[in-house]
Amino acid sequence: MKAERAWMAGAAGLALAAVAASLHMGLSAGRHREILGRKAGDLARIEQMANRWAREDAYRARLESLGAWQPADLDALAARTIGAGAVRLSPRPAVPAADGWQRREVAVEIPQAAYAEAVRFFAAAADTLPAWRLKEIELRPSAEAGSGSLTAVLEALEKKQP
Amino acid sequence: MAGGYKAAYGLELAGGRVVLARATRRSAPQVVYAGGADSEEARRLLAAVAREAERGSAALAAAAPAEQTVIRRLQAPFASVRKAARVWASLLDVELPFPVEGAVCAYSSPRLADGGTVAVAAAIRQGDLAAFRDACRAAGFEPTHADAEGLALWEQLAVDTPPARAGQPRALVWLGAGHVLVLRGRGTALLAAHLLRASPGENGTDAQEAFDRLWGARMGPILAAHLAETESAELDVWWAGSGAEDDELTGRLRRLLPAGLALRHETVRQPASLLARALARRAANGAGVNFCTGEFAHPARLRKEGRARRAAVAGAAAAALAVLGLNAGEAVLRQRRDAGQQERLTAAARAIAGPVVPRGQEVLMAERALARRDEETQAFRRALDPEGLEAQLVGVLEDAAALDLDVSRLALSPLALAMEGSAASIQAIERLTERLEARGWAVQSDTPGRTSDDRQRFILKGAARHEG
Repeated sequence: MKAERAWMAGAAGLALAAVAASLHMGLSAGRHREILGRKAGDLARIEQMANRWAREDAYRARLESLGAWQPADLDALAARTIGAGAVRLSPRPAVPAADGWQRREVAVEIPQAAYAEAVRFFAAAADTLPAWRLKEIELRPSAEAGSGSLTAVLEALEKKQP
Repeated sequence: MAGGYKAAYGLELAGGRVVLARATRRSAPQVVYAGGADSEEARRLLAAVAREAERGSAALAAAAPAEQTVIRRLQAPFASVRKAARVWASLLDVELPFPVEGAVCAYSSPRLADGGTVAVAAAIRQGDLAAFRDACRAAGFEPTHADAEGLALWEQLAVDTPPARAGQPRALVWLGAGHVLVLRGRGTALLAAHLLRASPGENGTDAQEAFDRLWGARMGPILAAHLAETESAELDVWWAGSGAEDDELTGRLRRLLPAGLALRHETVRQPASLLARALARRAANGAGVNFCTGEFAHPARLRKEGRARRAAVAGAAAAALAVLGLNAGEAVLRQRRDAGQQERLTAAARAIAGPVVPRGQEVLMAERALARRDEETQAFRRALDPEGLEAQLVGVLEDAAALDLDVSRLALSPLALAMEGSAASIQAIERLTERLEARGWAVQSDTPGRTSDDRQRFILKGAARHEG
C-alpha cells in the first residue's frame, strides 16, 4: 500500500510537472514568438544596412582589381590641358578612408585661365582612375569674359600597393 | 465497470436448481446452464466459473437474498443531483428498519422528476451480507458482485420487453424458489417492491393453501394501490421465475387476483433465467448494484482493481512523462530556433561592426559602425558621382552666360554655393535662381543696388538640399 501511495504521489508529481511545463510553454509561446520576430526584424535592418555601401565597395574592388592604387599626376595633366606652369598645386596631408585607402586632397590655384580650359582640366582629372574629383572651387572672373583666376580643391583616393 | 471485466456470469442458486448465464460487454446474456445443482455438470461449471472469478478474468454475480434486501424509492425535494446525493443516506435511514450505518447501501442513477430528484436505493444489513457470503463460500463459490434482486429483475424486464409507452404501469411477479417478489412501476421507473416470504410451488396442500391466502390478501391491495397511484385503469402483469413456466400454477394465481382489476397477463421469454441473465448483464456492463464493496469485496476483484489502479497510475505517469518530453522537445526546439536566429543576427552585425558585438546591441553597434563608415566612404561616393561638382560648375557657368550675367565671384562646394555679380534685369536674376533651385540648391537672393553701368547687382547664397 505504501509503495502504491508512493507511486501515486510520483505520478501526481509528474502530472503536476507536466501541467506546469505545458502551462509555461503555452504562456511563454507568445513571448518567444515576439523575441524571434524582433530578432528577424533586427536582422532585416542590419542586412539592409550591410547593402548600403554596396556601390562603394564595388568601386573599391574595381580599383583594386585594376591595380589603380595611385591617382594620376596632376602636374602633367594640367600642363596638357591648360599649359605648363599655369597651375600651382599644393598637396595636403592624406586622411585615412575605408579599408586601407586614403583620401588625398590637392589645392589647385590657377591665377589666370579661360574657364573652358579649366573645365577641361577638371574633366580630364575626373576621367582618370582613381579619379581626381572637384571638391570645392572659387573663381573670380577677370575683365576678359570667360576667364579669370580660380582656386579649387581636388580629391582622389590612393592606397599603398600591397 | 469496476475492475473492468470483459465477461460476467450471473448465478441463481435456489431450490436445488442452478441457473447460470454469461454476458460480455457487447453481447446479450446467454444461459450456460439451467438444471439441478447436484449434477456433475453443475459442479464442474461452478468450479470453472469460480476459478475464472478467482483469476479476475470474469465477474460472478449473484443476487443478495431478496428477503434481506430493502429497496426504496427516494425523493429529494430539490432539483439538483449533487445536492440530492448529500441527503440520500438520511432519507434512506428513515425508510430502513435498521440503522443505515450498519448496512451496505447502493443507489441507482438519480433522475429529475416532479421538481425534485428521484433515486432507487437498495440496502442490506452488513451481518446479512456476511452470512450470504459465507453461504456462497459453503456452496463452493464466492461472488464478485452481489446485486439487488428486485432492481436486476425490473431492469431486465425493461431490456427484454421495453414498455410500449413511457408512463405505462406494469408489474413483474417473480415466482422464485423460496419467495415471490412483486415489482411495480411506471414505464422503466420502479416505484415499489413487495416480498412474499413463501413459495407457491411448495408441496403439500396446507402449504399451498397458506400461500394462496397470503397471495390473495397481499396482491389485491398491492395492485389496486398501484392502479390508484399511477391513475391508470389497467395494468400489465408480467410473470417470471421458475414458477412462471408452470401454466397451471400461474393460472391458479391469476384466478386468485381480484376480479375487478383490469389486468393483462404476460409471461416473459425465458422466465426462469430472467434473474441470472439480469445479473450477468448488469455485472458485465457495470450498471448493476454491487454490495460486495469494502470489507465484502472479492479478493480477486480487489487484486484486479489494484492492477487497474496501478495501470492507471502508470498510464498517467507515462502520459505525464510524454507531455514533459514533448515540452522538453519544444523547449530545445525553441532554444535552437532562438540560437540560430541570434547566430545569424550576430554574424550580420559583426560583418558591419567588427568582432565585438554585445548580445542585444546588434542594431545599435551596426548603426554606430555605419555612421563611422559613412565618413570613411564619402570620398568613394564622391568619386562615383556621375556628375559631381564639375557638372554643377559647368551648369552654373552656362546658366550665367545664357542669362547675360556678369559673375564677379563664384564659390562652389558640395554643400554651399555663393555667387555675386550683376544682371541686366531682376527677371534674369530670378530665372537664375529658378534654375539653381532646379539643380538642387535652396537659394536666397539679394539685390543690393545697381552698378555704375546701371546693371542690377545680385548676391546669391545656396545650400544643397541633399548631400552628393
